Amino acid sequence: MGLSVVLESSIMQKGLPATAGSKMLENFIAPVDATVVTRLEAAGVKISGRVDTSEFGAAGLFEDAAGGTATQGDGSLVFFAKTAQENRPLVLLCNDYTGGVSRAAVDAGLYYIQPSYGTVSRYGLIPSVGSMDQIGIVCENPEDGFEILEIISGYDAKDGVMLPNSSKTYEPQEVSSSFEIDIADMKSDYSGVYKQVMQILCSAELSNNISRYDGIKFGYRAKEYKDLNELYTKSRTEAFGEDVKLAAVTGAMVLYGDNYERYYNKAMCIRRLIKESLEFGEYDVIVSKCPILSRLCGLPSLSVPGGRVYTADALREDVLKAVSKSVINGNTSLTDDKELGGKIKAIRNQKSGE
Amino acid sequence: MSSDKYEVVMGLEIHVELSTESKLFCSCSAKFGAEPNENVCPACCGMPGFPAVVNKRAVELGIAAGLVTNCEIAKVMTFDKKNYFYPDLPTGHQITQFFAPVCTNGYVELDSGKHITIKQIHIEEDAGKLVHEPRTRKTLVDFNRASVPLIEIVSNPDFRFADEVNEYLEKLRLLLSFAGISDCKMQEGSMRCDINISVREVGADKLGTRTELKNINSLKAIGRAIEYEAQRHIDTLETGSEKLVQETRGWDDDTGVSYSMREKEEAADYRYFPNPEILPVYIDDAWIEAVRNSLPEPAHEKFERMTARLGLPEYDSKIISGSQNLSRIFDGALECFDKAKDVSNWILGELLAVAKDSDIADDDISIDTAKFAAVIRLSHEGKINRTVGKKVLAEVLINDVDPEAYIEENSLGMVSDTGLLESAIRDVLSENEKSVAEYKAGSQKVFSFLVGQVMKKTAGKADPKSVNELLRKMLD
Repeated sequence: MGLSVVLESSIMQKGLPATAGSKMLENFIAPVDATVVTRLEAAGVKISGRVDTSEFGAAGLFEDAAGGTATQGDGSLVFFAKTAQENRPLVLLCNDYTGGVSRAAVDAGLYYIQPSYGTVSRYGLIPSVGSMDQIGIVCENPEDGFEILEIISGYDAKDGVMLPNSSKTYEPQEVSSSFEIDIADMKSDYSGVYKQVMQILCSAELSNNISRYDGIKFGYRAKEYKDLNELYTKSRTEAFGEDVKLAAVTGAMVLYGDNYERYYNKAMCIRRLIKESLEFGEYDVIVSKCPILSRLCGLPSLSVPGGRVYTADALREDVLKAVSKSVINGNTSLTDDKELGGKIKAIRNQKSGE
Repeated sequence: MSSDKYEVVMGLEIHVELSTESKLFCSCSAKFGAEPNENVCPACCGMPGFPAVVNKRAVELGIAAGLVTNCEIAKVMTFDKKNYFYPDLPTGHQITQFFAPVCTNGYVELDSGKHITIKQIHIEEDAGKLVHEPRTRKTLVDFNRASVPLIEIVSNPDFRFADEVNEYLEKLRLLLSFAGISDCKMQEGSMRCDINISVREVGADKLGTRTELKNINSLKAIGRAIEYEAQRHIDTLETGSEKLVQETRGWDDDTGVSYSMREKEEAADYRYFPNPEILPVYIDDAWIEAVRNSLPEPAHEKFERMTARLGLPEYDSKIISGSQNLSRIFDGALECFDKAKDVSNWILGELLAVAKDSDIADDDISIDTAKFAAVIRLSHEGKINRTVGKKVLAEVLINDVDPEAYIEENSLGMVSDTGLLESAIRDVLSENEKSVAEYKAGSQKVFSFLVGQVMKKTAGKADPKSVNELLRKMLD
C-alpha cells in the first residue's frame, strides 16, 4: 500500500520517545508498540513520523474559560503533521477527545474520522480521559482515512473496553450520493451544556490519569527538594503546562467531597440523558457543527472541511463513509450551511430510508 | 476493658490477598517472596498506555469469599478509583470497589451462635512496599506487590470482646484458606487486620469516638492491642483531661503501646469516582453456581463427616479438618486405602513426626497420597512393621520413592520366616545367659529386653508378633 501515516506522540512506538507533548515525559521511551502500530506494520503501512500533541491533548478543553488562547497546540499538530508527510497525502492518528484537533483539521481543509468508542485498541496510547480516549484519523482524503481505519480497528484483548464484535469493514451496503437534510427536531437539545459536561468529566479523568506522574518512577523529577511533598509539587509544577494544571485542579475540585454530587455525578447524569436522547430511528446521521457530541456518546463521527460534523450511530462507520463520498461529490444539501446555524439536525439517507 | 461501666465496640476491616497466579490487571506473577521488582511490568509500575484487563479468577475468588460468608453476590459490580499520592502507589490511585462491591450483607457465625455481620466484601489492588535503608537514608520501592488482588472484608461494629475478634479471624481464616481463596498468612502479610474500636457507657445508643488500629501482625498481638486501646479510651474518658480524637493508630507489639499515625480530619477525601476504563462486570446465576460447585468441603462439614460418618475421634478430626493441607492428604490417602482410622493415625503419628524431623511445617507437607496410602497398606497387611514403615515414609516424603520398590531394594520386608527367627533367637539366648536366668527366676522385665535384642539382630525387620511367640516358646 502506498499510504503512510504520522503518529501523535501519545501513541507508542517501541524504543522511541513517547511524550504526549509533555515535559513530564520528555525522557520517556516507549516500552512497547501500540496495537495500532503493530497492525499498521503488519499491513505494510509506513509510519513516516511522529508529531507532538498539545500536552495530553488538553488544549482547547478550557478555551472559553481561558480566553480562547489555548487551541494553539491542536492547530500546530495538524501543521506539523502536514510537514512530516511532505508530498504524500496526510493521514495522522491522534487521540482527539476534546474535538480540538478535528476543528483545526477542518480549518486546514482536512477531514477527521472519529471511530466508535471501543473499536480501536488503546493499548500503547498514553491515556488522558479514559471514557473518551479513542484514536482517530485526520486525513486529506477520507477514502485513505477509512482504509487506515479498517486496518487499525477490531477487537484487542489488551484493551478492556473493546467491543467484542467491533467490525473490520466499513463498506456501505448501498452507497447513496443523495443525502437530504430532513429538518427534524431533536426530542431534547442539550447542546447548550455540552461544553460544561465535557470540562467536568475530562478534567476529573485527566487529573486522575496524570496522578501517575509524581517524579518517583519515571518522567521528570525536580532537581532539588526537601521532602516527599516537595518532590511531588516541584516536579509537577515544573513539568506540567497551564492547560494540564488547570485540568488537574478543576478535576480534583469536581470530585472533592460534596462536589462529587454537585458536579461530577450531575455531569455523568446529563451525559446519560444526552445518550438516551439520541434516537436515530429512520435517520442515519445527526449533523451539527459540534464534535463534542460524538465524544460524549462514544459515537462515530466525520468532520468535513467547512466545519460540519456528521455523527452516526455506534458501529455505523459505513454510513459516514457514504456521507464522505456524498460530500466529495458536492452534494450541496450536505455542504450548505445556511440551514444549520450551529444547531443539531438530523438527516436521512433517502435510499436507506426507503 | 474489664470495667462494668463501659462497653467496647469493634468492627474489623480485613485485607486478604487472593490466591491467583497473576495480578489483578496484568499478567505478572502474584507470588510472594520474589526478588524486589522481579514481578513487575510497565502496567503494574504505573506507566501510561496499558489499559486494565480484569483478572477473571480474582472475580471468582471474590464471589467465592461471599459464598463462604453467606453474602449476597452483586448482579453487577464495578471498579472505582481512589485517589491519593504515595510512592508505593504507582498510578497515584488505587483501583477498588466503592460504588458496587462484589458482595454485601453476609455473616460469620461464632460458636456461641452470635452472628458477626459483614457489611461488604470488595476486590481491590494492593500497593507496593517501601523499604527504608537507614544506612544510606534512602527509601526504595518494591512493586512486586503492586496490583496483587486483595479482598477487603468489612464487618459491622458487632464485636464486644477480644475473644470474639480472635474467633472470627480464626473462622474466617479457615473458611478462606479451605476454599482456596487465600493462604491467609498473617506473617507474610497475605491477611491483614485493621480494628475500628470505640468505647461507650453500657446502655448508650450512640457509638463513642473511634480509632483505627493498624499494623497488627499476629493473632496473639490482637488481644493485647485491643485491651491496650480500649483501656486508653476508658482512661481518657474517665480523666477527661484530653479529648479522644478520631485517628489511625499503629500498634507496636514490642512495647505494647499504640501510637498516633495520622488524624483522620474531615478533609481526608479520596475523590472516589467510577473507573471509566473498566467495564462493569455482570455476574449471572450460572456463574455463581459454577463457583459454588467448585468450592471444596468447608472445614466444619469435613469435621462432621470425619466424626459422624467415619467414626474418628473428635481430637483427630479437629486437627486434620483444621488444616487444609492435612485434609487434602487425608482425603487423598483415603481414596487409595479406605481404613479411615489407620490413615488418620498415620497422619497424626508418623507423617507429622517425619515432617518435623525434616523441618517441614504441617501446611507445607507435600506427599504423593497414593504412595502414602501404600505405606499404610503395607503396614496394615503385615508386610512391614511400623518402625520400618516410618523409615519408608520418610523416604517417600523426602525423595518421593516408590514404597514397594524401596522395601524390595533394601530388603526391609518383615522377617517372619520361623527358621531365620529361631536362629536369631538362639544366638540372642546364648549371648544373654544372665538375662535368661533372670527370666526363669520370674522377671518379666527382661523378656522385652530379649525381644529388643532379637529385633536388633534382624535389623528391625522381624515381625514383632512372631518374635514374641517364638521367644516365649523357646524360653519355656
